[in-house]
Amino acid sequence: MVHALRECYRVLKPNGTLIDLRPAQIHRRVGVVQNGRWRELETMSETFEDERAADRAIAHVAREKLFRRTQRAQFEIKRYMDTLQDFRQWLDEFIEFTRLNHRPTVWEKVEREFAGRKGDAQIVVRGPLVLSVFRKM
Amino acid sequence: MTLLIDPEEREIRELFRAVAFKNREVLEIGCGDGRLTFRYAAVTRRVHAFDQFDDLVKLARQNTPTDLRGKIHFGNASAEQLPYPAERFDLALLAWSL
Repeated sequence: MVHALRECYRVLKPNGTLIDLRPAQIHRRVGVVQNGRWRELETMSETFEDERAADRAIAHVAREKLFRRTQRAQFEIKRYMDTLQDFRQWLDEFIEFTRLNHRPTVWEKVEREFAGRKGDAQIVVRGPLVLSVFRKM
Repeated sequence: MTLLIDPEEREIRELFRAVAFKNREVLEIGCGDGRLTFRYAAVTRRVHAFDQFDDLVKLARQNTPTDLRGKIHFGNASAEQLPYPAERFDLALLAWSL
């Protein structure tokens, strides 16, 4: 990660801008939305190992005086899934990328809740992102 | 399969609020299938967007809207060894990739 940040420093013009956009260290929430009403089913339990490593890399290049943070914003985004198959695919990728060492119980909860609904129900995953802006020094 | 990520477009609104993309030479690392790239590229001078996963880069190329074809270059490269000379870009975007 530090090497990637040094590469960004190298290819950026003087006073160039670096944007780091990634999930915040806040657990994602899974639920079902129907007719505009949200029903939460489970809060995930990510370890945030990668996010903490990224924070350390940022701190490292800040100490080297390569970049200086100028802005930080946090906001929530949602992803909407129409079918259990979509959710299964998201969940498999989520487990792989967040390196969860246990199978969350969310699948059973979503399957049960979703099966009992008709019409425009959607499975929704909500979670905040952090947007950090840095200036090349 | 129907998967909609951020249909409310919060992500792109926050990006545009934080940084000026207009006429900038942009490097994006971690472009994936181009979902975010397609939302900001129109206002830039040019975007060089990379991902380490070749299948996603192919998908991004296939899905590039016609009006953005001359503006975005998608490639496969490591963030630790970028194929560019020094001081080339105005803006570097690490999109879910650090």
